Amino acid sequence: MCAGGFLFLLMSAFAQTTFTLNSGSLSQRPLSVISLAEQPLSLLSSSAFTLGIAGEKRFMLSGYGQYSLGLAVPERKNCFGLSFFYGGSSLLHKTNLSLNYARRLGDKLGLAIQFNYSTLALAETYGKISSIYSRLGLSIQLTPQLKTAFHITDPFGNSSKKNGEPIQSPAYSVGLGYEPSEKFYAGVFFQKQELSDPQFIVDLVYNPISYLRIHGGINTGNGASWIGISWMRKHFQFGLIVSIHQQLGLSPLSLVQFQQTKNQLP
Amino acid sequence: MKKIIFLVSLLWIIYSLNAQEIPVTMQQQLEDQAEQSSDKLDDDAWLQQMEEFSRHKLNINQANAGDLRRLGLLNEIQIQSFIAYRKLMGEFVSLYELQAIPGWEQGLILKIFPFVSVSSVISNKEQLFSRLKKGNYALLFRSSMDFKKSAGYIADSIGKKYSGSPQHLFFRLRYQYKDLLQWGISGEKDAGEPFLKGKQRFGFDHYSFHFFLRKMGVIRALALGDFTVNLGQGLIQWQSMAFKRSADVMNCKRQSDIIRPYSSSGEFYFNRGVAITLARKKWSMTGFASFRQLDANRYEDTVTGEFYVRSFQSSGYHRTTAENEDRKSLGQLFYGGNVSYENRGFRAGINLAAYSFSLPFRKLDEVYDQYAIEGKNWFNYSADLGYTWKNLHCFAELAMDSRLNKALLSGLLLSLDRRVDLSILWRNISPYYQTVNGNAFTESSLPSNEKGIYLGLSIRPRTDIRIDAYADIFKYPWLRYRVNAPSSGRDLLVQVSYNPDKQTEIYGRIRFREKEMNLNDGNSYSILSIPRQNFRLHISRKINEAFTLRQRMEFIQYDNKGVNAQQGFLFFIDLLYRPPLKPFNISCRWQYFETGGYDAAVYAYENDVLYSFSIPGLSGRGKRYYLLSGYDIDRKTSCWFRLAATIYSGLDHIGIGDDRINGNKRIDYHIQIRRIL
Repeated sequence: MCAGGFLFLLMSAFAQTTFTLNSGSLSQRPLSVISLAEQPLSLLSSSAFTLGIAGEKRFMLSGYGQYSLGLAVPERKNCFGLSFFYGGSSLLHKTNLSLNYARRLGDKLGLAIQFNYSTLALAETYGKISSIYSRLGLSIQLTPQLKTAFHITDPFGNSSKKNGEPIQSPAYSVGLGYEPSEKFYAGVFFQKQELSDPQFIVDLVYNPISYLRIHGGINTGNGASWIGISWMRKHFQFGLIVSIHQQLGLSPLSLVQFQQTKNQLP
Repeated sequence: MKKIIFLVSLLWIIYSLNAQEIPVTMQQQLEDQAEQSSDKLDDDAWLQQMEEFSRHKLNINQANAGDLRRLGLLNEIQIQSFIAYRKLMGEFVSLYELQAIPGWEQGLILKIFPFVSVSSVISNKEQLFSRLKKGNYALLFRSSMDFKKSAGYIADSIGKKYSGSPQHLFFRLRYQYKDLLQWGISGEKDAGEPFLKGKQRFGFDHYSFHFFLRKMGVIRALALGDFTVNLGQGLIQWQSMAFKRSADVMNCKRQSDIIRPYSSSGEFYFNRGVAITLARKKWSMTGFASFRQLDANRYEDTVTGEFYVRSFQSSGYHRTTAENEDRKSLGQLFYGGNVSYENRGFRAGINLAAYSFSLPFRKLDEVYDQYAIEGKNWFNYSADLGYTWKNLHCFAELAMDSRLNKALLSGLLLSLDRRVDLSILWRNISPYYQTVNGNAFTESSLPSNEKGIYLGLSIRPRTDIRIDAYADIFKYPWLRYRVNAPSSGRDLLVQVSYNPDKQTEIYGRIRFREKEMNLNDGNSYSILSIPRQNFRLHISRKINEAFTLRQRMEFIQYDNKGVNAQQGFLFFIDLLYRPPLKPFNISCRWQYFETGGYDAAVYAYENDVLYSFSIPGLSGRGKRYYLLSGYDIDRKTSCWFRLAATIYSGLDHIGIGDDRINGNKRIDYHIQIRRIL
């Protein structure tokens, strides 16, 4: 395998965390600020300053820890955001820093753009490579309960290439979110990365009681499903989500999120 | 590049778009049609008619069943329901009254709304005078071209293969008064054909003239020049645009006037001569006769020295020496007729379509072609009937060919409930049965060698939700091209549409098709079932009065568990800007496609200049963009401009043979201007 192809596979291994793949951009409520790493449109659901930190132990393996930070600063129609990701170990790790901007265009449209600086550091013999790419998103409120959004990753081509092969493949996702009440949310979306098989992702959130949130979902791309629980108390949200892969086992994720205004509970 | 910049600049300086937005169900039908057939869809007669209905709306107080069928948006139960309602309740006062007709749901009314109006009945005498005085002349000129020249335009050691320039040119001058009188002349030159030189020293490669009159006393229709003939359910003759299976599951019955005017750019599927339909009380009689010189693959028998043909050449291209050798090499005399009786909901007719050729047809030396047409003469005749009783409509056609082989197609449309419609169609067409220009509701392009049953179901559980589903199971009792044994197949579709309001349109569909094919392309007699699945999500949302956004994502799996497994993917975003009361509008698309090969090719309807549409079949990997714009320069003059580009990844050339283009980009433009005189 050429070096470029190898790097591409490594990047893919870090690309699909449990919680960043959920459909946060399709909900009208701030489900998780962490999801803005993959979906900058999820900024639009933030109504106050929000900071979230998450840590995930992928497949319970020591060299596959992943840590995410998300920050959202909304201001009237504009929302600014920042996310940071670190995954791997000192021998092999990926970092990603993204700057996000989202804007509401009337009551039906939302627009978001994300700029990423991504690095992949390998063992000393390979060194470190970096990449800058962007991500665009557009959301449309179809009805008061129904919302659609799409994201295009790297629409203009990647700035860094290794052996002629881009290290971040362009990707396309389209989703539909249904939120009949503040108690329940269901999102489905299709995601396709160039030269890879498509994925179909279902994401469910249910609030059985005012301070408790139950998460569940499935991703056909890697055959993983997840289930979790969040507890909300004043400005804070504490969550524990476990994803299950049939072959590779469990990946637990813990989340702490702070929101400047109190959580608006159903 | 300079040309592109020039044309884009020109676009912003001049133009218009008087965009023709055809109903979404029709766009889907066209996409399905393009997916199933490699023939060019260049019959724009139905687009002309829809545009005419949008300019001169059909008066629902005066429209008869034939007029409503001509709209192409209603099934027979809906038409008969409309006629019965009007007879019972009298003239309509408002279009909103359409909601009261049994079986007419909101979606249907919205679909026909742009094409109908309510006014009092006008006397025939006044109409006759109006035909000659109040019609309009329209002059239309269209040009299109690929910016990059293909191999056929580049001289090699023996010179250029294509004898003409790469521009496609088309003009049409037409006089029209509603749909009652029209005449016109058109000329067309395909890309690569010469213009005003060589074999085309009189200008265009193809000229067409038509004169068409409707509803003049006992004359229901009179055609001189070019026309099309459509009989029964298409078992013996159907030349106009007709759809096969689609999400419009109730549209399985062929409906058309027998004679229709023809002024499109297509050079094959029409007749040239005279045709007339006379009607008196409940009877009508049609006769037609046509003579044309057609393109055909001509061969010489090395033993007898006799010339014969094996197939028609329907592309209409006359660019190369070989194509010009086939030009007008076969004389075709076509004649026939129809006698019909129609009373209330009952209609019965007998039809004849006869052909006489200047050279004999011979079948191929292939087993699958054993029952093909042979000789200089061929005819088909049939009897067709239809009957509507309350919420049930049944129809059938029984046909025979000159060798007395039989074909039967029958069906019914049933409104089970005001929210549930059902359609069933059954066909049994002998492998021996042959037709020259048949086009029935069958899986194959020609009605022959097929048995099958089609079941369609349309459910509207709520006013904003619609579920359409069909299942078609078919068998081929004899061999086919690339299928060396009797075979079978099935086609299943489920589509769920959600229209929460007039501004939002969402539909998702799953389609599963399976057909048996040869195990390989050799002489193997083993056949294998090849499945193909489509998954599609389409969302359209009108943001405000001017802006509309559309997006679609589609996955295709071809032979997913076999050795030829391929996957296809399509994603596009459309932005349409149509400000009200402004003389211009713009639409554009950004599209990504990725397929493992031609069998998983993706098809998506694209807006084009007036009377045109585009459905390119895309395979490989790449991006496609188009920009369409138009401007009404004044009340009588409109122009359109379209620029489209396809950029493939990882290719150093596109196409094969004379159509090969070096590089990975294909860029083309369409420009059109229309002046109402």
